Amino acid sequence: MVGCPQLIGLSKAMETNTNVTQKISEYEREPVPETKTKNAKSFWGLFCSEHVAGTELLIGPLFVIHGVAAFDLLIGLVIGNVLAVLSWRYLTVPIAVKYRLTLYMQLEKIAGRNLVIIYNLTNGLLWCFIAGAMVSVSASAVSALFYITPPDLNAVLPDNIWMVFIVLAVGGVISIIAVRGYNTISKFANNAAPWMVVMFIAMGISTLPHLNIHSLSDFWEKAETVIWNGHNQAGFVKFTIWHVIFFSWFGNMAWHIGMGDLTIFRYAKKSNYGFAPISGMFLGHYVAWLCAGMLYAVQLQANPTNTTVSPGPMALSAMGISGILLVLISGWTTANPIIYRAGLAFQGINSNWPRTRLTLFAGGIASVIGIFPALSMKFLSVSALYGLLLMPIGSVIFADHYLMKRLGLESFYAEKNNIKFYLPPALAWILTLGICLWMNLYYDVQIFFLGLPGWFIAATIYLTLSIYFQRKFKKR
Amino acid sequence: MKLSWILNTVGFLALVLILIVSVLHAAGVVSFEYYTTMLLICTIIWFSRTLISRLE
Repeated sequence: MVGCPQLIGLSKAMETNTNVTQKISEYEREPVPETKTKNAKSFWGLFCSEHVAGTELLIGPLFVIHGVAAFDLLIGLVIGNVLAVLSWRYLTVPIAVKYRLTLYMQLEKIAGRNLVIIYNLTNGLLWCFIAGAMVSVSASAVSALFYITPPDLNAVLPDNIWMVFIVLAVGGVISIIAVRGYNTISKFANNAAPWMVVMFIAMGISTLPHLNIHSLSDFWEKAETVIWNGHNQAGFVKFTIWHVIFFSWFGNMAWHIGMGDLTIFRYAKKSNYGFAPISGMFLGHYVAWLCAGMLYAVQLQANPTNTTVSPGPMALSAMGISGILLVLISGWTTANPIIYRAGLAFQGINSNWPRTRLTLFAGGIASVIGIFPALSMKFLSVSALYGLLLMPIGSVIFADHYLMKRLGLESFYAEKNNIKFYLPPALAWILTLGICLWMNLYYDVQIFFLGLPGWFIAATIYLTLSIYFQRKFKKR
Repeated sequence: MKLSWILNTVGFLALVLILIVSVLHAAGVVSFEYYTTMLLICTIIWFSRTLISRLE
């Protein structure tokens, strides 16, 4: 979740909120000038380093736990990742390049300042959950050095007091660094990114002898019978190719169809820069996920009762101390900017609140959340929920840009009419989530499949309510 | 300029070496101990290169 050196300014701008970050970032409330746009190489580097991260060490094994078959995974990931890239290219980037505004500014123009505050609060809290998972990933590396037994796959509460102390200590260190040295760690993370990519690949290669794979034909046989053999663990829903496609497509829902990356791509010269996420999708969300899954298969093969997902011990057994460093650094470099962003998102509620304390507060929440092993063990659902909760806002932005004028309505309505809290976007957000919850509870639609219908529902509600509200205001 | 070119080359070679040693280990040519030691050395080279370039 960090950027390449050229885009450190961009990374900072991601956590922009209207008043707060004027001191530390650029063009929060105005379009990025043409002269300040970045070249394509910067975006390819940024997406590569952002998407090869600590989370991949959780996601890869969880596919194995969910009993996905080899063919379904290898093909499903290609389809899902291509769809994700196309979503960035054709939904997010054209809007980013046209207005060159941050997501927050765009949302403020459509929905008013007060909805941006609520969005910031939601975003900040969700980031604490993601950072909590990363803290637990890094803590698993430290725990492996002390031979602490990792939590059970179905554990919800922590069952080892030493593990609790380690998570809190690691979370505390990460939070303090997030407060004091964001730039240094950003630079460190950028430098570590190529090493992390190579180490993920090396990790996959290192598992081959353990899995008795000596040729390409061996690989396919073992992939089908040992690694992704289609047997899901008790308590984990069986994954089909559809689950894989939808998870890999919507794993980053908040950033593409949720429009989170408007803030990044406002620096793009052309819409074609929207193809840059290919680097992150295929190195991080393909190669790294497969390698992490193979590492987990080695663990299962050694001891079929050891079903826990604890990246530290797995990496130690496969790569020694370098494996521990990989887990520690990938978790740390991901958690650090997320905690920083969460602090800034909270500061967006009241710009007078000190950022340092809010960052520590966010880090504290993330550390406490990281104590609970259920967060890591259910990370696929957590990340799907994260995207789902923010997705309706992206749908509103899309509808406002592409469809309002066609329906004879005004876009950027809140700005033009000086409204602080415009109801249609807010209702579209809340009602969409309500309908998704209803579909989940009463029709058993799994969380991975709610993003697509939810996106259309949000757009429909927003447009319908806009017709009603704008006509009502006109009559007045 | 010259130093940064050297550091980049050394860093790149360290990454290539990680991949080569991994393949050799997978093929059973080198032992696990040799493999993990080489990984650690290449990792140290990579991050030292970063440190030196920053000091420079």
